[in-house]
Amino acid sequence: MSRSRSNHRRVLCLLIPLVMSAVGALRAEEVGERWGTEEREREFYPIVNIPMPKDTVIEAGAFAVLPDGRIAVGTRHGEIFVIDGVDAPKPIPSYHRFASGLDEIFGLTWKDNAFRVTQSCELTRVSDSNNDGVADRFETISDAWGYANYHEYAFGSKPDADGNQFVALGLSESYYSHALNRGFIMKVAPDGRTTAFASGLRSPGGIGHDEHGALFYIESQGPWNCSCSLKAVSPSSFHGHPASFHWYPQSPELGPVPEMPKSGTRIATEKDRVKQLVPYAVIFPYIRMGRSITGFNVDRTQGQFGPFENQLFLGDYTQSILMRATTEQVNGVWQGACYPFREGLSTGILNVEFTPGGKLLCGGTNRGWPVRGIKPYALERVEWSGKMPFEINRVTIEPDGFKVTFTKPVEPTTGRSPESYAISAFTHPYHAGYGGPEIEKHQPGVTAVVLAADGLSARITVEKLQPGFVYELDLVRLRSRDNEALLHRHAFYTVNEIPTARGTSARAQPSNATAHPVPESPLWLTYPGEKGPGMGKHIVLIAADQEYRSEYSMPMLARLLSKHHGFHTTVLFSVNKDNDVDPTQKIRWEDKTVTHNIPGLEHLEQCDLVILFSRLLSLPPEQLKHLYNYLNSGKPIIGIRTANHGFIDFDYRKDGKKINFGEDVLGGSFRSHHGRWQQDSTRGIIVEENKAHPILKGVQDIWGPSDVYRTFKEGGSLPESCLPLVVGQPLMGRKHDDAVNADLIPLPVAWVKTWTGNTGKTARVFHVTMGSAQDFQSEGLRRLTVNAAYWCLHQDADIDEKSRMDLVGDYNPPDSGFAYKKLGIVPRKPSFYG
Amino acid sequence: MRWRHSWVIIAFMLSCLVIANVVVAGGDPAWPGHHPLTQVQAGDLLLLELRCAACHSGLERGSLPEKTAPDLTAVGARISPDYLCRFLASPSVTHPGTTMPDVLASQPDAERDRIAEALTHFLVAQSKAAFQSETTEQIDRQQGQTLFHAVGCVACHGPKEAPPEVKKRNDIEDEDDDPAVAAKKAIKPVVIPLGHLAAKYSVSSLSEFLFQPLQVRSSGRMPDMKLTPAESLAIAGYLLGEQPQSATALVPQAPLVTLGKQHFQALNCVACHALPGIAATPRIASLKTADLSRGCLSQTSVRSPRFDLDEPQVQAIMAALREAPTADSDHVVVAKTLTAFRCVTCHVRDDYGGVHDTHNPFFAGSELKLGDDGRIPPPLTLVGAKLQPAWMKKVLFDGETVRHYMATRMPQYGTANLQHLPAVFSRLDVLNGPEMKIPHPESRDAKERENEKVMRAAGRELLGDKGLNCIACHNFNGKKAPVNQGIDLLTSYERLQPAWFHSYLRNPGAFRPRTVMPTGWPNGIASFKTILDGETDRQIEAIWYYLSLGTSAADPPGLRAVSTKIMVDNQAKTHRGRSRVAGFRGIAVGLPEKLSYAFNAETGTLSAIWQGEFIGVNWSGQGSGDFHPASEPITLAQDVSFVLLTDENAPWPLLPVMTKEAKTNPNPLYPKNVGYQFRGYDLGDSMIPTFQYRSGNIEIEDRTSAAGTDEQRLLQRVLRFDAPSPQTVWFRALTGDIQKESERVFRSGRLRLTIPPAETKLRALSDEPKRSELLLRLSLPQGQSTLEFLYEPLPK
Repeated sequence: MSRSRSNHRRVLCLLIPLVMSAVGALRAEEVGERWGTEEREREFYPIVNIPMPKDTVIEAGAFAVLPDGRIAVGTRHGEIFVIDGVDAPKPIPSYHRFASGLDEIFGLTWKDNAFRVTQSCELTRVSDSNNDGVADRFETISDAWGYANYHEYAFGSKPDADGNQFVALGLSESYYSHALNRGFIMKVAPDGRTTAFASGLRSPGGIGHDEHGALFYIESQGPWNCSCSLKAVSPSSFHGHPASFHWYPQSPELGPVPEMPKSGTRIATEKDRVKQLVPYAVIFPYIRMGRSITGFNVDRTQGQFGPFENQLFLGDYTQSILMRATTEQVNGVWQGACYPFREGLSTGILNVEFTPGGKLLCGGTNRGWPVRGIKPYALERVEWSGKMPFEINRVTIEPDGFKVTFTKPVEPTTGRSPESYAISAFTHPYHAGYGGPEIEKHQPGVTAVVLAADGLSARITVEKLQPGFVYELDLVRLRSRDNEALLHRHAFYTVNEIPTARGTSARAQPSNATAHPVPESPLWLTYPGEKGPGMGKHIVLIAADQEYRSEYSMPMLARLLSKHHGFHTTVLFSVNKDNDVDPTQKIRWEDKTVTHNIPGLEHLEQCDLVILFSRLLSLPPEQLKHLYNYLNSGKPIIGIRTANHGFIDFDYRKDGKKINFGEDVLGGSFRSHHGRWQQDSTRGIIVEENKAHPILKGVQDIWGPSDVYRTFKEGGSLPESCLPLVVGQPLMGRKHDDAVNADLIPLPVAWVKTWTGNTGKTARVFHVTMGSAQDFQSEGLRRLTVNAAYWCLHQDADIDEKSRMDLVGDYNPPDSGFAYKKLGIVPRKPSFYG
Repeated sequence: MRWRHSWVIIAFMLSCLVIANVVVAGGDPAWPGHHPLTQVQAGDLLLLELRCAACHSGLERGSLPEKTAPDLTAVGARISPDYLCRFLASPSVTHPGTTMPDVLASQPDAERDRIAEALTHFLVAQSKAAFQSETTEQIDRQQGQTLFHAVGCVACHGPKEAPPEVKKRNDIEDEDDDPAVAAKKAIKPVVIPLGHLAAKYSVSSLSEFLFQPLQVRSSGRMPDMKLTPAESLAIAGYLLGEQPQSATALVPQAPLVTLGKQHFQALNCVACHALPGIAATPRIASLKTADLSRGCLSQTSVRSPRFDLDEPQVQAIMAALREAPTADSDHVVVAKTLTAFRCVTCHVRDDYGGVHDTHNPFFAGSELKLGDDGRIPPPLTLVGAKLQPAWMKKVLFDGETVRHYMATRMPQYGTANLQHLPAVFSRLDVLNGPEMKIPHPESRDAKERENEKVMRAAGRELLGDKGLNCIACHNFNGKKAPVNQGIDLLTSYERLQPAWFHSYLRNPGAFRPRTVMPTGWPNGIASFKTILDGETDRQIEAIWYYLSLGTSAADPPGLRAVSTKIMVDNQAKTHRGRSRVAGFRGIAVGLPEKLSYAFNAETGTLSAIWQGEFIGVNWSGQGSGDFHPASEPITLAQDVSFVLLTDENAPWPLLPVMTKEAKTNPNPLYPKNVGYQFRGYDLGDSMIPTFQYRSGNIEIEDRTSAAGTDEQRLLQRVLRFDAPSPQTVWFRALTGDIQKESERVFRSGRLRLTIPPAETKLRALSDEPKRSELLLRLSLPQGQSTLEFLYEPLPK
């Protein structure tokens, strides 16, 4: 919402430097007003129109998801509609008008059976006291700001963890602060108590929290802002435009008035002088990345929306586009990157919201300012087609460069060449003029590139990094392993701070004595071991169940084992005919024609330990052969959860007798759910008499939301050959601190034993019947499993009760179960899980 | 203009275009309708549509996706078991025109029924749900009938009732002598019969199918007509009629299910109808070498399934199989695709296709004055040169449309089925014309910028009412045109390719023979000589420049800004927004008695009263929409109403005044520093709001409703106080040129105010000594108390 009467001024000051710069001219041709990616984008992220009732104007300004899954939209016309059916494959939603007569809604949230509505004049609680479906109570929560010019917009955040809401107040006529507190962010406590929180705003377009729960707002290009930007808001922070300084006397809680910023400086230097000044966290280079960025939201869809989980998605009004952004804190300062995502929406986007079905609902209007989309107003849904685009996933900063992660493995020839990573940098002046040029442009050279073995990330070393500069990565030359070009070749990282090199820097060259024994492949994941007692050893993890999300947990364990413990690891998956990891595949009980496929089982020959998480698989004979060989090899085995019924057609014979993999190798097989399936959870209790076992070293607080398996008959016991380490006590519910279910006795959930195959060689075996992907969010369970790996490899002495068990990479696995649709479980390439 | 010399060529080319809404030639009779296919091509298409390659090897892959058989997973819930059994026993008798072959043709009659029964049991057992013939929903069959004929169903299925007689037009009496017309008349329309539906479906199962047909029939031959569930239900109800449906429930019997499954396997039904757990048998003999007189095509063969084909169809298939396989040219791919998906039943392309005369009367639209352009789908000739590639995909795959006036809907065939089409169109359709490249904003030079300014201004002038007045018949940026509401002009730049736009503007008639769209440049000569020196090409380019601005284009002259009228019906309406009569935190209330008032919530003051209609809201600019009373209001002061004056001679605290010179509020905490806080409102009886606010520690409820008679309406305002302790508070009841009519009745201008018994003080206004203010000294008791005021608007 930044357009104003001075377009011509902005255009003039922007044009001159661009025309003069050769890079600018080149870029204009290649990127320009349109990214030119619309036709390719639609294959991965189609846009679906959400029909509206005839003669109803819905200029969406804010969205809220209701507890029952319906979606509420607050409009510029001051109405609130509740929409049912937005997620339907062919959406024909029903619209119910809940409230009307409000004044332009740019903030909507549902709390305590009422809407909290940020309208131009105030923050209001809107409720339906007589339950007739139409609002009848409108209670003023806060109106602690002046409102005296039409351009004085108010944007409200969702409540934070403590229930506080933040209202961002645009300036008067977009330049001045004539009315009380214009240019401030106000903090409204749950009881309505309102205090000034931050100053220096110009024309905000949205306010909310990022993936880390930190507060940000979107600022528009204009005076003191050469581009739109995402700004990190902290108490008493000042955001660059001094017009609001004269309200400080009314708000002692803000502290002293900041020093008056000097026009024509740089933000990176001025922030040292003006101590409340917070540098822009993410700059969106003007026009190339939006012209009026508005509302934003975090992708918390657990993968339903594709590979960009936990990232921010932002709409742009003028260009009718969507962009992504990521944030990180370095030396206590927020910064991050932005990325193109989707163009070609039908109207100016004012806000976005993720639906319960994991789709991105976008809405807005073209009223008042220039907009590329041709519809006066529209609701549209962007959804993930399930196809993996080749994209820059995230750019993060390193002490001497950047780490870039990708959604698909990068082909090594282009991926290892520094020439594939073109970097240019610019900064903006910090000045009172409207908008401003990109100045001090230069192309810092890329001196080195280390492409990860899995091809999913690259560390690039850049000649020189400078705070206050935006680094534009143009990776047009990169190719994926299937020879695709990037869907969007650019990313823009704003550097405010540069991290110092860490002691055990992640960028240290891999020091593992031997090379990883398994070649890289799109069919599996490989992680070279870093430093640790596992150096030189190779563990193969098999993720092949349909229920407990082993495709999430095994890569996580592999990363942990490689990064913190030094093991080379390889994760093999059960894949479908498209070579996608496919937990939705049927088993032979359901479909007699099914044969499963785990590519790479031949690598069991070169590994030292297998961690198996399969369920009811029917593998072809040539693959089973590798498993049978392994059982003969005397090499150790860790089985997790359903591994004890890991195979249907398993025909390993010992002394001519068919062995039962669960009973004979692992020491027990699933008989029934002792705990209540998907209703209760399991607390792991260490078996007192065996607590000195090395596997239990440092293990505490095992808990997971899966239930206890019964592996022997009622009244029976764990076989003599097994040494129980942990028993599982069913709880009453699925929370960590739920009460013990006194009706259910604890049963063994983890034990050790040995196995001897046809060659007479004896192997150590560890079996744990817990282990859904969410169970592994328990550090206790991770430590138990990693300790078991050491023990299995006869490295008992290397078990360290203080060794690192923290997660490597993001780990927010979906719930267990077969409700694939609800959980967003779809076939995906192995690289997705890397 | 560097392209001007090529203009002659363009003009020549256009004159050669044969574009007409009439159909001249029909293709091979093996396929119905106005298609252009030769016998071999029609045969190729039949091979695809009948899925011959499902069983036979030796067939090349077609150039478009083949027709698939319906998904049978839920067939038991969708189709009456009784019908299913009869259909399996004898497909073409039960459903004339079906593409399902009689797979039991080789069986003796008794055996056929037995197998059909077993298959039915097996299929019904596949479905989770059972067939329900009853529906409890209300069905609007009348709407169904209207929709069936209007949205486009009729183009492929024909009308359900006898077609209306086509009136012979007097002016074309002699047409019958024209061989082209005679040839055209010989072509039968595409009519896929629907007579079997009533026995086959229930209203609800047909309705579900119509809502999302591609879920069952994924190959899009029956497209998604963009129906809502309610519309689907109405059409289903209409098609099935009112006769009660008697479907006997079928409980699958295990032995029959097993037997049915064996037959399903043995008959290789799975070759076309995939079912989990059943594998197709290997394909049989190549059709290239087969004896075509003996197998499926023969009506007497007892060794194979039998297709119900007529002689031309058999001949076409045979001709296609004899022909050496060659790759289809782009032209043929388009022709086959438009034929297979029956695009030709609505659209003309080159010399084929178009709405059949017998179906023409059903095509309707809301903008009658647009003529055929307003009701007949647009021609597809040169469509690949007309539409921007991204827009073509939006139309084909996303259901996008700009012709809001056209009743016929552009169906959706499924992305997978027409994915090949946009690229073929764009290779095939080339219209050489000026590219009208708009210089890029980031890279244009000073000269280009100057030119741009001139061009945009000229374009704006041409579109406006002093120019070509395009906005008379075209909507502009969502604003409705006064005469016809043709396609919104602002969509042009997004949708159209520049060369096509240029050529079309020069001579719309070359593209649409009977279009109502005039040209502003008859014979290439500009009608407006003063704009851009009357240069035709530059004028058209200027319009393109102007439209390229999208919504940032300033409205053309003559376009009226619209104010949205908000009406009040039988309940009160409350509208919040800024207004000169109520401040920025204004609230307007309209009563059904045609009496309205405004409340300034920033100060807690009744600030305006008016009679008649409610308000207009300006939702056309950047703002949130300011409101203005629909008739001239009686305006009242907007300063705070309640003050705890310690000195009764102290001036009333006035709303701070901001001027253009001094815009910053000098007293930003007014009125909070006089103890006022707005707290909200409840909507009570008849949705009349009760405002709640606080003055000091007094809680005030303020409700104003209509009173009096129809002849003399007045407003009754009730103020309820809740004070924690007895106290005195001053209320400013009225300002202006006040005349005291009696102890309790005062008048100011057009307002007569009746106050409750109270101590009053009438004194000069502090800032306007000639006018006065009426203050009431209210002594409020502890707890609740009430005061009533009457506001009577007087005639002028």
